[in-house]
Amino acid sequence: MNPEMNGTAAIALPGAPAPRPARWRKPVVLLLLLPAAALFLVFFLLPLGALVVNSFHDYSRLGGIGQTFTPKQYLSIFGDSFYLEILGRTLRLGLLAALAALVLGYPVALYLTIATARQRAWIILAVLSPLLVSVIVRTFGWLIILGPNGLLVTALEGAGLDMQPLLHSETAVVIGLANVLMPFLVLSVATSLQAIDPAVPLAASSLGASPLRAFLTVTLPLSLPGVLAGVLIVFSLASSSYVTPALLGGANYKVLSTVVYQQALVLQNWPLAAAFAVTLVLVVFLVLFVQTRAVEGGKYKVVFH
Amino acid sequence: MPAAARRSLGAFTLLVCLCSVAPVLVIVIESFTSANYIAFPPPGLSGKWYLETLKRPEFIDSMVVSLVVALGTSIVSTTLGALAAIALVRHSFRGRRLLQSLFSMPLSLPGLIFGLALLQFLALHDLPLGGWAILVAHVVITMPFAIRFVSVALLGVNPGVELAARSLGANPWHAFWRVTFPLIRPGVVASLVFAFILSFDEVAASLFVSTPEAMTLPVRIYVYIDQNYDPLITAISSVLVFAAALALAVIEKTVGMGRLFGLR
Repeated sequence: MNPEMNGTAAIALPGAPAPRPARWRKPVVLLLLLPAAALFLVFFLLPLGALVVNSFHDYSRLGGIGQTFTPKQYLSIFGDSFYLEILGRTLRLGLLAALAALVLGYPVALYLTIATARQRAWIILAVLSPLLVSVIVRTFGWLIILGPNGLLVTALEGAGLDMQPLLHSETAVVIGLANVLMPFLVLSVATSLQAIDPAVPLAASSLGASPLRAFLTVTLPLSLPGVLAGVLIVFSLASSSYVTPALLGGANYKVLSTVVYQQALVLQNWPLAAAFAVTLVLVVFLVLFVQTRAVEGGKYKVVFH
Repeated sequence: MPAAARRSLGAFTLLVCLCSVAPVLVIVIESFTSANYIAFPPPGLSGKWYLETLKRPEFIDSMVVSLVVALGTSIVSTTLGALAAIALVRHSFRGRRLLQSLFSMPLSLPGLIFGLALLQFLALHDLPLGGWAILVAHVVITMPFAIRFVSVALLGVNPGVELAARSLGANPWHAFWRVTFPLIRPGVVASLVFAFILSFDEVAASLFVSTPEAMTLPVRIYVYIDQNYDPLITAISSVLVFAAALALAVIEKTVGMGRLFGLR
Protein backbone atom coordinates (compact mmCIF):
# COMPACT_ATOMS: atom_id res chain seq x y z
CA MET A 1 0.00 0.00 0.00
CA ASN A 2 1.12 3.49 -0.72
CA PRO A 3 1.58 5.48 2.50
CA GLU A 4 1.32 8.82 0.68
CA MET A 5 -2.28 8.04 -0.15
CA ASN A 6 -3.36 8.01 3.47
CA GLY A 7 -2.91 11.69 3.95
CA THR A 8 -6.44 12.61 2.87
CA ALA A 9 -7.42 13.97 6.26
CA ALA A 10 -4.22 15.95 6.51
CA ILE A 11 -5.60 18.45 4.01
CA ALA A 12 -8.11 20.07 6.35
CA LEU A 13 -11.14 21.68 4.77
CA PRO A 14 -11.59 25.37 5.60
CA GLY A 15 -13.58 25.62 8.78
CA ALA A 16 -13.24 21.92 9.54
CA PRO A 17 -12.50 21.06 13.17
CA ALA A 18 -8.90 20.35 14.12
CA PRO A 19 -7.93 16.70 13.47
CA ARG A 20 -8.64 14.47 16.42
CA PRO A 21 -6.37 11.51 17.34
CA ALA A 22 -6.30 8.89 14.56
CA ARG A 23 -8.29 6.33 16.53
CA TRP A 24 -11.36 8.48 16.97
CA ARG A 25 -11.29 10.75 13.96
CA LYS A 26 -13.28 8.49 11.70
CA PRO A 27 -16.04 6.32 13.09
CA VAL A 28 -16.69 5.73 9.39
CA VAL A 29 -13.52 3.59 9.27
CA LEU A 30 -15.08 1.25 11.78
CA LEU A 31 -18.28 1.05 9.75
CA LEU A 32 -16.37 0.32 6.56
CA LEU A 33 -14.29 -2.44 8.14
CA LEU A 34 -16.90 -3.98 10.41
CA PRO A 35 -18.69 -6.33 7.95
CA ALA A 36 -15.51 -7.87 6.54
CA ALA A 37 -13.72 -8.02 9.89
CA ALA A 38 -16.72 -9.61 11.64
CA LEU A 39 -17.01 -12.21 8.89
CA PHE A 40 -13.31 -13.07 9.18
CA LEU A 41 -13.48 -13.25 12.96
CA VAL A 42 -16.49 -15.58 13.08
CA PHE A 43 -15.97 -17.72 10.00
CA PHE A 44 -12.19 -17.72 9.61
CA LEU A 45 -10.32 -17.14 12.89
CA LEU A 46 -12.74 -19.00 15.17
CA PRO A 47 -12.87 -22.08 12.88
CA LEU A 48 -9.05 -22.17 12.73
CA GLY A 49 -9.00 -21.92 16.52
CA ALA A 50 -11.53 -24.75 16.77
CA LEU A 51 -9.34 -26.83 14.46
CA VAL A 52 -6.25 -26.34 16.61
CA VAL A 53 -8.22 -27.09 19.81
CA ASN A 54 -9.71 -30.23 18.27
CA SER A 55 -6.25 -31.46 17.26
CA PHE A 56 -5.40 -31.69 20.97
CA HIS A 57 -8.40 -33.86 21.81
CA ASP A 58 -8.72 -37.61 22.12
CA TYR A 59 -10.83 -39.77 19.84
CA SER A 60 -12.25 -43.25 20.12
CA ARG A 61 -14.64 -44.91 17.72
CA LEU A 62 -17.19 -45.56 20.46
CA GLY A 63 -16.75 -42.50 22.68
CA GLY A 64 -16.31 -39.97 19.87
CA ILE A 65 -14.27 -36.84 20.54
CA GLY A 66 -12.87 -36.60 24.08
CA GLN A 67 -12.76 -33.35 26.02
CA THR A 68 -9.38 -33.54 27.75
CA PHE A 69 -6.22 -31.90 26.48
CA THR A 70 -3.74 -34.41 25.03
CA PRO A 71 -0.90 -34.22 22.49
CA LYS A 72 -1.70 -37.84 21.61
CA GLN A 73 -2.63 -37.15 17.94
CA TYR A 74 0.67 -35.39 17.24
CA LEU A 75 2.63 -38.12 19.01
CA SER A 76 0.94 -40.73 16.84
CA ILE A 77 1.78 -38.76 13.67
CA PHE A 78 5.44 -38.18 14.49
CA GLY A 79 5.92 -41.59 16.14
CA ASP A 80 4.62 -43.62 13.22
CA SER A 81 6.98 -44.44 10.34
CA PHE A 82 3.98 -44.85 7.99
CA TYR A 83 2.84 -41.27 8.68
CA LEU A 84 6.39 -39.90 8.51
CA GLU A 85 6.76 -41.53 5.10
CA ILE A 86 3.57 -39.72 4.00
CA LEU A 87 5.01 -36.45 5.27
CA GLY A 88 8.20 -37.03 3.27
CA ARG A 89 6.20 -37.95 0.16
CA THR A 90 4.15 -34.75 0.49
CA LEU A 91 7.27 -32.59 0.56
CA ARG A 92 8.85 -34.50 -2.32
CA LEU A 93 5.70 -34.04 -4.39
CA GLY A 94 5.72 -30.29 -3.74
CA LEU A 95 9.38 -30.09 -4.72
CA LEU A 96 9.01 -32.18 -7.89
CA ALA A 97 5.97 -30.19 -9.02
CA ALA A 98 7.81 -26.91 -8.39
CA LEU A 99 10.86 -28.09 -10.37
CA ALA A 100 8.70 -29.36 -13.24
CA ALA A 101 6.78 -26.08 -13.35
CA LEU A 102 10.07 -24.15 -13.33
CA VAL A 103 11.61 -26.17 -16.17
CA LEU A 104 8.44 -25.77 -18.26
CA GLY A 105 7.53 -22.24 -17.23
CA TYR A 106 10.81 -20.32 -17.20
CA PRO A 107 11.43 -20.59 -20.96
CA VAL A 108 7.84 -19.46 -21.59
CA ALA A 109 8.30 -16.40 -19.38
CA LEU A 110 11.60 -15.70 -21.14
CA TYR A 111 10.02 -16.00 -24.57
CA LEU A 112 7.32 -13.52 -23.49
CA THR A 113 10.02 -10.82 -23.26
CA ILE A 114 11.08 -11.24 -26.90
CA ALA A 115 7.74 -12.22 -28.49
CA THR A 116 5.76 -9.90 -30.74
CA ALA A 117 2.63 -8.31 -29.27
CA ARG A 118 0.45 -10.78 -31.17
CA GLN A 119 2.41 -13.82 -29.94
CA ARG A 120 2.38 -12.45 -26.39
CA ALA A 121 -1.40 -12.20 -26.41
CA TRP A 122 -1.74 -15.82 -27.59
CA ILE A 123 0.78 -17.17 -25.08
CA ILE A 124 -0.86 -15.33 -22.19
CA LEU A 125 -4.21 -16.66 -23.32
CA ALA A 126 -2.95 -20.26 -23.58
CA VAL A 127 -1.14 -20.21 -20.26
CA LEU A 128 -3.65 -18.27 -18.17
CA SER A 129 -7.05 -19.25 -19.55
CA PRO A 130 -6.92 -22.77 -18.01
CA LEU A 131 -7.02 -20.95 -14.64
CA LEU A 132 -10.66 -20.16 -15.44
CA VAL A 133 -11.52 -23.86 -15.61
CA SER A 134 -11.99 -25.77 -12.38
CA VAL A 135 -8.99 -27.84 -11.26
CA ILE A 136 -11.29 -30.85 -11.17
CA VAL A 137 -11.95 -30.54 -14.91
CA ARG A 138 -8.29 -30.05 -15.80
CA THR A 139 -7.30 -33.03 -13.67
CA PHE A 140 -9.99 -35.13 -15.30
CA GLY A 141 -8.52 -34.14 -18.68
CA TRP A 142 -5.19 -35.67 -17.59
CA LEU A 143 -7.09 -38.78 -16.50
CA ILE A 144 -8.24 -39.14 -20.12
CA ILE A 145 -4.76 -38.42 -21.51
CA LEU A 146 -2.81 -40.70 -19.17
CA GLY A 147 -5.40 -43.41 -18.45
CA PRO A 148 -6.15 -46.73 -20.14
CA ASN A 149 -7.22 -46.19 -23.80
CA GLY A 150 -5.99 -42.62 -23.29
CA LEU A 151 -4.28 -40.28 -25.71
CA LEU A 152 -0.76 -41.17 -24.55
CA VAL A 153 -1.18 -44.95 -24.71
CA THR A 154 -2.94 -44.73 -28.10
CA ALA A 155 -0.26 -42.43 -29.51
CA LEU A 156 2.56 -44.66 -28.27
CA GLU A 157 0.84 -47.76 -29.64
CA GLY A 158 0.60 -45.97 -32.98
CA ALA A 159 4.36 -45.44 -32.81
CA GLY A 160 4.82 -49.15 -32.18
CA LEU A 161 5.63 -48.79 -28.48
CA ASP A 162 3.89 -50.73 -25.76
CA MET A 163 3.44 -48.93 -22.47
CA GLN A 164 1.66 -49.26 -19.19
CA PRO A 165 -0.72 -46.34 -18.50
CA LEU A 166 1.01 -43.69 -16.38
CA LEU A 167 -2.13 -43.21 -14.32
CA HIS A 168 -1.97 -43.85 -10.57
CA SER A 169 1.71 -43.06 -10.22
CA GLU A 170 3.71 -40.21 -8.76
CA THR A 171 4.71 -39.18 -12.30
CA ALA A 172 1.04 -38.69 -13.20
CA VAL A 173 0.46 -36.52 -10.12
CA VAL A 174 3.56 -34.41 -10.88
CA ILE A 175 2.45 -33.93 -14.51
CA GLY A 176 -1.04 -32.90 -13.41
CA LEU A 177 0.20 -30.50 -10.72
CA ALA A 178 2.86 -28.96 -12.97
CA ASN A 179 0.15 -28.27 -15.53
CA VAL A 180 -2.37 -26.91 -13.06
CA LEU A 181 0.14 -24.68 -11.23
CA MET A 182 2.50 -23.58 -14.04
CA PRO A 183 0.55 -20.34 -14.70
CA PHE A 184 1.57 -19.04 -11.24
CA LEU A 185 5.24 -19.66 -12.01
CA VAL A 186 5.04 -18.01 -15.44
CA LEU A 187 3.28 -14.96 -13.93
CA SER A 188 5.87 -14.61 -11.21
CA VAL A 189 8.93 -15.01 -13.45
CA ALA A 190 7.46 -12.84 -16.22
CA THR A 191 6.85 -10.00 -13.76
CA SER A 192 10.44 -10.27 -12.61
CA LEU A 193 11.82 -10.35 -16.16
CA GLN A 194 9.68 -7.36 -17.15
CA ALA A 195 11.25 -5.34 -14.37
CA ILE A 196 14.77 -5.75 -15.80
CA ASP A 197 16.02 -2.66 -17.61
CA PRO A 198 16.73 -3.88 -21.18
CA ALA A 199 19.86 -1.71 -21.19
CA VAL A 200 21.51 -3.94 -18.58
CA PRO A 201 21.82 -7.18 -20.63
CA LEU A 202 22.62 -4.94 -23.62
CA ALA A 203 25.50 -3.40 -21.70
CA ALA A 204 26.82 -6.90 -20.98
CA SER A 205 26.82 -7.85 -24.67
CA SER A 206 28.32 -4.53 -25.76
CA LEU A 207 31.15 -5.25 -23.31
CA GLY A 208 31.76 -8.48 -25.22
CA ALA A 209 29.68 -11.09 -23.38
CA SER A 210 28.23 -13.82 -25.58
CA PRO A 211 24.40 -13.99 -25.57
CA LEU A 212 24.56 -17.14 -23.41
CA ARG A 213 26.93 -15.51 -20.97
CA ALA A 214 24.86 -12.32 -20.82
CA PHE A 215 21.85 -14.45 -20.00
CA LEU A 216 23.59 -16.62 -17.40
CA THR A 217 25.39 -13.83 -15.57
CA VAL A 218 22.94 -10.92 -15.92
CA THR A 219 19.36 -11.80 -16.87
CA LEU A 220 19.10 -15.06 -14.92
CA PRO A 221 20.36 -13.70 -11.58
CA LEU A 222 18.14 -10.63 -11.92
CA SER A 223 15.10 -12.86 -12.44
CA LEU A 224 15.84 -14.93 -9.33
CA PRO A 225 13.34 -13.11 -7.06
CA GLY A 226 10.57 -14.07 -9.48
CA VAL A 227 11.89 -17.63 -9.74
CA LEU A 228 11.99 -17.95 -5.95
CA ALA A 229 8.50 -16.50 -5.49
CA GLY A 230 7.10 -18.72 -8.24
CA VAL A 231 8.76 -21.89 -6.99
CA LEU A 232 7.55 -21.24 -3.45
CA ILE A 233 3.98 -20.60 -4.60
CA VAL A 234 3.94 -23.81 -6.66
CA PHE A 235 5.57 -25.76 -3.82
CA SER A 236 3.05 -24.63 -1.22
CA LEU A 237 0.04 -25.12 -3.51
CA ALA A 238 1.28 -28.52 -4.72
CA SER A 239 2.08 -29.91 -1.29
CA SER A 240 -1.37 -29.00 0.01
CA SER A 241 -3.42 -29.79 -3.10
CA TYR A 242 -6.05 -32.46 -2.75
CA VAL A 243 -7.92 -33.11 -6.00
CA THR A 244 -4.96 -33.88 -8.26
CA PRO A 245 -3.16 -36.40 -5.98
CA ALA A 246 -6.50 -38.03 -5.13
CA LEU A 247 -7.55 -38.55 -8.75
CA LEU A 248 -4.24 -39.09 -10.58
CA GLY A 249 -2.41 -40.86 -7.74
CA GLY A 250 -5.08 -43.45 -7.06
CA ALA A 251 -6.17 -44.98 -3.76
CA ASN A 252 -2.69 -46.12 -2.74
CA TYR A 253 -0.92 -42.81 -3.29
CA LYS A 254 -1.16 -41.10 0.08
CA VAL A 255 -0.06 -37.56 0.85
CA LEU A 256 -1.01 -35.40 3.86
CA SER A 257 -3.99 -33.80 2.11
CA THR A 258 -5.54 -37.13 1.10
CA VAL A 259 -5.01 -38.44 4.64
CA VAL A 260 -6.73 -35.34 6.07
CA TYR A 261 -9.71 -35.99 3.80
CA GLN A 262 -9.81 -39.69 4.60
CA GLN A 263 -9.56 -39.20 8.37
CA ALA A 264 -12.15 -36.43 8.41
CA LEU A 265 -14.82 -37.58 5.99
CA VAL A 266 -14.35 -41.37 5.72
CA LEU A 267 -13.13 -42.42 9.16
CA GLN A 268 -14.72 -39.45 11.01
CA ASN A 269 -11.64 -39.12 13.26
CA TRP A 270 -11.76 -35.33 13.47
CA PRO A 271 -9.01 -34.82 16.06
CA LEU A 272 -6.49 -36.81 14.02
CA ALA A 273 -7.61 -35.05 10.80
CA ALA A 274 -7.17 -31.70 12.59
CA ALA A 275 -3.69 -32.69 13.79
CA PHE A 276 -2.73 -33.70 10.24
CA ALA A 277 -4.09 -30.39 8.92
CA VAL A 278 -2.12 -28.36 11.46
CA THR A 279 1.01 -30.42 10.71
CA LEU A 280 0.59 -29.81 6.98
CA VAL A 281 0.28 -26.05 7.42
CA LEU A 282 3.21 -25.82 9.83
CA VAL A 283 5.52 -28.02 7.75
CA VAL A 284 4.78 -26.08 4.55
CA PHE A 285 5.36 -22.75 6.32
CA LEU A 286 8.60 -24.02 7.82
CA VAL A 287 9.91 -25.16 4.44
CA LEU A 288 8.93 -21.84 2.82
CA PHE A 289 10.68 -19.93 5.61
CA VAL A 290 13.90 -21.97 5.40
CA GLN A 291 14.01 -21.87 1.59
CA THR A 292 13.46 -18.11 1.50
CA ARG A 293 16.18 -17.53 4.09
CA ALA A 294 18.63 -19.85 2.34
CA VAL A 295 18.18 -18.28 -1.08
CA GLU A 296 17.92 -14.64 -0.02
CA GLY A 297 21.06 -14.93 2.07
CA GLY A 298 23.04 -16.64 -0.68
CA LYS A 299 25.31 -15.47 -3.45
CA TYR A 300 22.67 -13.30 -5.14
CA LYS A 301 21.22 -11.68 -2.05
CA VAL A 302 21.69 -8.24 -3.58
CA VAL A 303 18.95 -8.84 -6.19
CA PHE A 304 16.36 -9.41 -3.46
CA HIS A 305 16.50 -5.83 -2.19
CA MET B 1 19.32 -13.30 -28.95
CA PRO B 2 20.64 -15.52 -31.81
CA ALA B 3 17.99 -16.67 -34.30
CA ALA B 4 18.50 -20.37 -33.51
CA ALA B 5 18.02 -19.82 -29.78
CA ARG B 6 14.98 -17.67 -30.45
CA ARG B 7 13.45 -20.34 -32.68
CA SER B 8 14.01 -23.21 -30.25
CA LEU B 9 12.69 -21.12 -27.38
CA GLY B 10 9.62 -20.36 -29.48
CA ALA B 11 9.11 -24.03 -30.34
CA PHE B 12 9.41 -24.99 -26.67
CA THR B 13 6.91 -22.28 -25.70
CA LEU B 14 4.47 -23.54 -28.33
CA LEU B 15 4.78 -27.06 -26.93
CA VAL B 16 4.17 -25.89 -23.35
CA CYS B 17 1.16 -23.84 -24.49
CA LEU B 18 -0.29 -26.89 -26.22
CA CYS B 19 0.21 -29.02 -23.10
CA SER B 20 -1.35 -26.27 -21.04
CA VAL B 21 -4.63 -26.33 -22.95
CA ALA B 22 -4.49 -30.06 -23.79
CA PRO B 23 -6.52 -31.39 -20.82
CA VAL B 24 -9.33 -28.92 -21.48
CA LEU B 25 -9.39 -29.62 -25.24
CA VAL B 26 -9.33 -33.37 -24.66
CA ILE B 27 -12.40 -33.15 -22.41
CA VAL B 28 -14.41 -31.11 -24.89
CA ILE B 29 -13.52 -33.48 -27.77
CA GLU B 30 -14.24 -36.58 -25.67
CA SER B 31 -17.64 -35.21 -24.63
CA PHE B 32 -18.87 -35.71 -28.22
CA THR B 33 -17.93 -39.40 -28.25
CA SER B 34 -20.39 -42.02 -29.46
CA ALA B 35 -18.82 -44.76 -27.33
CA ASN B 36 -20.12 -45.88 -23.93
CA TYR B 37 -16.63 -45.91 -22.44
CA ILE B 38 -13.77 -43.42 -22.31
CA ALA B 39 -11.25 -43.88 -25.14
CA PHE B 40 -9.24 -41.13 -26.78
CA PRO B 41 -9.50 -40.38 -29.64
CA PRO B 42 -13.26 -41.13 -29.67
CA PRO B 43 -14.29 -43.85 -32.16
CA GLY B 44 -17.25 -41.78 -33.42
CA LEU B 45 -19.08 -38.54 -32.74
CA SER B 46 -22.48 -37.94 -31.19
CA GLY B 47 -24.24 -35.59 -28.79
CA LYS B 48 -25.79 -38.36 -26.73
CA TRP B 49 -23.87 -37.63 -23.54
CA TYR B 50 -25.25 -34.11 -23.43
CA LEU B 51 -28.77 -35.55 -23.69
CA GLU B 52 -27.85 -38.01 -20.95
CA THR B 53 -26.81 -35.07 -18.74
CA LEU B 54 -30.30 -33.60 -19.00
CA LYS B 55 -31.71 -36.82 -17.53
CA ARG B 56 -29.62 -36.47 -14.38
CA PRO B 57 -31.43 -34.04 -12.07
CA GLU B 58 -28.66 -34.12 -9.44
CA PHE B 59 -26.27 -32.46 -11.89
CA ILE B 60 -28.82 -29.84 -12.89
CA ASP B 61 -29.47 -29.11 -9.19
CA SER B 62 -25.75 -28.77 -8.55
CA MET B 63 -25.44 -26.43 -11.50
CA VAL B 64 -28.09 -24.20 -9.94
CA VAL B 65 -26.38 -24.35 -6.53
CA SER B 66 -23.05 -23.43 -8.14
CA LEU B 67 -24.53 -20.50 -10.06
CA VAL B 68 -26.43 -19.09 -7.07
CA VAL B 69 -23.43 -19.46 -4.73
CA ALA B 70 -21.03 -17.94 -7.28
CA LEU B 71 -23.34 -15.00 -7.90
CA GLY B 72 -23.83 -14.43 -4.17
CA THR B 73 -20.09 -14.76 -3.51
CA SER B 74 -19.30 -12.31 -6.29
CA ILE B 75 -21.65 -9.64 -4.92
CA VAL B 76 -21.06 -10.10 -1.18
CA SER B 77 -17.29 -10.45 -1.48
CA THR B 78 -16.91 -7.43 -3.76
CA THR B 79 -19.15 -5.26 -1.58
CA LEU B 80 -17.45 -6.15 1.72
CA GLY B 81 -14.04 -6.11 0.05
CA ALA B 82 -14.60 -2.69 -1.49
CA LEU B 83 -15.74 -1.21 1.84
CA ALA B 84 -12.70 -2.66 3.59
CA ALA B 85 -10.40 -1.51 0.76
CA ILE B 86 -11.63 2.08 1.11
CA ALA B 87 -10.85 2.03 4.83
CA LEU B 88 -7.47 0.35 4.30
CA VAL B 89 -6.31 2.62 1.47
CA ARG B 90 -7.85 5.98 2.38
CA HIS B 91 -7.55 6.03 6.16
CA SER B 92 -4.78 5.44 8.59
CA PHE B 93 -5.65 3.88 11.92
CA ARG B 94 -4.20 1.57 14.49
CA GLY B 95 -4.07 -2.07 13.47
CA ARG B 96 -4.25 -1.37 9.74
CA ARG B 97 -1.28 -3.63 8.97
CA LEU B 98 -2.72 -6.37 11.16
CA LEU B 99 -6.06 -6.25 9.34
CA GLN B 100 -4.32 -6.28 5.98
CA SER B 101 -2.49 -9.47 6.87
CA LEU B 102 -5.67 -10.99 8.32
CA PHE B 103 -7.56 -10.33 5.09
CA SER B 104 -4.81 -11.90 2.97
CA MET B 105 -4.47 -15.02 5.15
CA PRO B 106 -6.89 -17.17 3.10
CA LEU B 107 -4.38 -16.91 0.22
CA SER B 108 -1.84 -18.99 2.09
CA LEU B 109 -4.22 -21.40 3.79
CA PRO B 110 -5.08 -24.46 1.68
CA GLY B 111 -8.82 -24.67 0.87
CA LEU B 112 -8.89 -28.23 2.16
CA ILE B 113 -7.80 -27.11 5.62
CA PHE B 114 -10.11 -24.12 5.73
CA GLY B 115 -12.97 -26.45 4.73
CA LEU B 116 -12.10 -28.89 7.51
CA ALA B 117 -11.85 -26.05 10.06
CA LEU B 118 -15.20 -24.60 8.99
CA LEU B 119 -16.84 -28.05 9.11
CA GLN B 120 -15.62 -28.68 12.65
CA PHE B 121 -16.61 -25.17 13.77
CA LEU B 122 -20.12 -25.38 12.29
CA ALA B 123 -20.65 -28.84 13.79
CA LEU B 124 -19.44 -27.58 17.18
CA HIS B 125 -22.14 -24.89 17.21
CA ASP B 126 -24.85 -27.01 15.55
CA LEU B 127 -24.91 -24.71 12.52
CA PRO B 128 -26.16 -26.19 9.24
CA LEU B 129 -23.96 -27.24 6.32
CA GLY B 130 -24.94 -26.75 2.68
CA GLY B 131 -25.65 -23.62 0.65
CA TRP B 132 -25.01 -20.97 3.33
CA ALA B 133 -21.87 -22.66 4.57
CA ILE B 134 -20.48 -22.89 1.01
CA LEU B 135 -21.33 -19.21 0.42
CA VAL B 136 -19.54 -18.13 3.61
CA ALA B 137 -16.49 -20.25 2.73
CA HIS B 138 -16.31 -18.79 -0.77
CA VAL B 139 -16.69 -15.20 0.44
CA VAL B 140 -13.74 -15.70 2.82
CA ILE B 141 -11.64 -17.36 0.09
CA THR B 142 -12.33 -14.63 -2.51
CA MET B 143 -12.08 -11.63 -0.14
CA PRO B 144 -8.28 -11.17 -0.55
CA PHE B 145 -8.77 -10.76 -4.30
CA ALA B 146 -11.70 -8.36 -3.93
CA ILE B 147 -9.70 -6.18 -1.53
CA ARG B 148 -6.64 -6.33 -3.76
CA PHE B 149 -8.44 -5.41 -7.00
CA VAL B 150 -10.35 -2.51 -5.43
CA SER B 151 -7.26 -1.29 -3.51
CA VAL B 152 -5.15 -1.21 -6.68
CA ALA B 153 -7.92 0.76 -8.42
CA LEU B 154 -8.24 3.18 -5.47
CA LEU B 155 -4.49 3.80 -5.36
CA GLY B 156 -4.71 5.03 -8.94
CA VAL B 157 -7.30 7.68 -8.01
CA ASN B 158 -6.14 11.00 -6.58
CA PRO B 159 -8.03 11.51 -3.28
CA GLY B 160 -8.04 15.20 -4.19
CA VAL B 161 -10.83 14.71 -6.75
CA GLU B 162 -13.28 13.51 -4.11
CA LEU B 163 -12.17 16.37 -1.88
CA ALA B 164 -12.78 18.79 -4.75
CA ALA B 165 -16.33 17.48 -5.12
CA ARG B 166 -16.82 17.88 -1.37
CA SER B 167 -15.58 21.45 -1.41
CA LEU B 168 -18.01 22.18 -4.27
CA GLY B 169 -20.85 21.12 -1.98
CA ALA B 170 -21.36 17.40 -2.65
CA ASN B 171 -22.06 15.29 0.44
CA PRO B 172 -19.63 12.38 1.07
CA TRP B 173 -22.07 9.79 -0.33
CA HIS B 174 -22.66 11.80 -3.48
CA ALA B 175 -18.96 12.55 -3.91
CA PHE B 176 -18.11 8.83 -3.70
CA TRP B 177 -20.76 7.63 -6.14
CA ARG B 178 -20.38 10.39 -8.71
CA VAL B 179 -16.61 10.85 -8.62
CA THR B 180 -14.62 8.00 -7.06
CA PHE B 181 -16.80 5.04 -8.00
CA PRO B 182 -16.73 5.63 -11.78
CA LEU B 183 -12.94 5.86 -11.52
CA ILE B 184 -12.54 2.54 -9.67
CA ARG B 185 -15.19 0.71 -11.70
CA PRO B 186 -12.64 -1.47 -13.65
CA GLY B 187 -11.29 -2.78 -10.33
CA VAL B 188 -14.80 -3.51 -9.09
CA VAL B 189 -15.68 -5.34 -12.31
CA ALA B 190 -12.45 -7.36 -12.08
CA SER B 191 -13.34 -8.29 -8.52
CA LEU B 192 -16.91 -9.32 -9.44
CA VAL B 193 -15.73 -11.50 -12.34
CA PHE B 194 -12.80 -13.05 -10.50
CA ALA B 195 -14.79 -13.85 -7.35
CA PHE B 196 -17.48 -15.46 -9.47
CA ILE B 197 -14.97 -17.67 -11.28
CA LEU B 198 -13.08 -18.65 -8.13
CA SER B 199 -16.32 -19.59 -6.40
CA PHE B 200 -17.68 -21.44 -9.42
CA ASP B 201 -14.48 -23.53 -9.68
CA GLU B 202 -13.72 -24.10 -5.98
CA VAL B 203 -13.52 -27.75 -4.90
CA ALA B 204 -11.44 -28.36 -1.77
CA ALA B 205 -13.32 -26.27 0.82
CA SER B 206 -16.74 -27.01 -0.68
CA LEU B 207 -16.01 -30.72 -0.41
CA PHE B 208 -16.26 -30.46 3.38
CA VAL B 209 -19.26 -28.19 3.84
CA SER B 210 -21.49 -29.51 1.01
CA THR B 211 -24.42 -31.78 1.78
CA PRO B 212 -25.91 -34.36 -0.63
CA GLU B 213 -28.80 -31.91 -1.20
CA ALA B 214 -26.70 -28.77 -1.62
CA MET B 215 -23.55 -29.67 -3.51
CA THR B 216 -21.72 -27.47 -6.01
CA LEU B 217 -21.06 -28.81 -9.50
CA PRO B 218 -17.26 -29.33 -9.09
CA VAL B 219 -17.91 -31.32 -5.90
CA ARG B 220 -20.63 -33.36 -7.65
CA ILE B 221 -18.15 -34.06 -10.47
CA TYR B 222 -15.48 -35.12 -7.95
CA VAL B 223 -17.86 -37.47 -6.14
CA TYR B 224 -18.94 -38.97 -9.48
CA ILE B 225 -15.39 -39.47 -10.83
CA ASP B 226 -14.40 -41.10 -7.55
CA GLN B 227 -16.83 -43.95 -8.31
CA ASN B 228 -17.34 -43.94 -12.10
CA TYR B 229 -15.29 -43.57 -15.26
CA ASP B 230 -17.55 -42.86 -18.23
CA PRO B 231 -18.11 -40.08 -20.82
CA LEU B 232 -21.09 -38.59 -18.93
CA ILE B 233 -18.72 -36.53 -16.82
CA THR B 234 -16.89 -35.20 -19.90
CA ALA B 235 -20.17 -33.66 -21.11
CA ILE B 236 -20.80 -32.08 -17.69
CA SER B 237 -17.19 -30.88 -17.45
CA SER B 238 -17.52 -29.35 -20.90
CA VAL B 239 -20.38 -27.23 -19.60
CA LEU B 240 -17.90 -25.80 -17.06
CA VAL B 241 -15.41 -25.21 -19.90
CA PHE B 242 -18.04 -23.34 -21.94
CA ALA B 243 -18.88 -21.24 -18.88
CA ALA B 244 -15.15 -20.45 -18.51
CA ALA B 245 -14.99 -19.46 -22.20
CA LEU B 246 -17.88 -17.07 -21.60
CA ALA B 247 -16.08 -15.62 -18.57
CA LEU B 248 -12.91 -15.30 -20.67
CA ALA B 249 -14.80 -13.30 -23.29
CA VAL B 250 -16.16 -10.97 -20.57
CA ILE B 251 -12.67 -10.53 -19.08
CA GLU B 252 -11.04 -9.83 -22.44
CA LYS B 253 -13.74 -7.22 -23.15
CA THR B 254 -13.43 -5.48 -19.79
CA VAL B 255 -10.07 -5.93 -18.06
CA GLY B 256 -7.88 -8.17 -20.22
CA MET B 257 -6.58 -11.55 -19.10
CA GLY B 258 -2.98 -10.41 -18.65
CA ARG B 259 -3.94 -7.31 -16.68
CA LEU B 260 -6.30 -9.28 -14.43
CA PHE B 261 -3.27 -11.25 -13.27
CA GLY B 262 -0.98 -8.24 -13.05
CA LEU B 263 1.00 -8.60 -16.29
CA ARG B 264 1.63 -5.53 -18.36
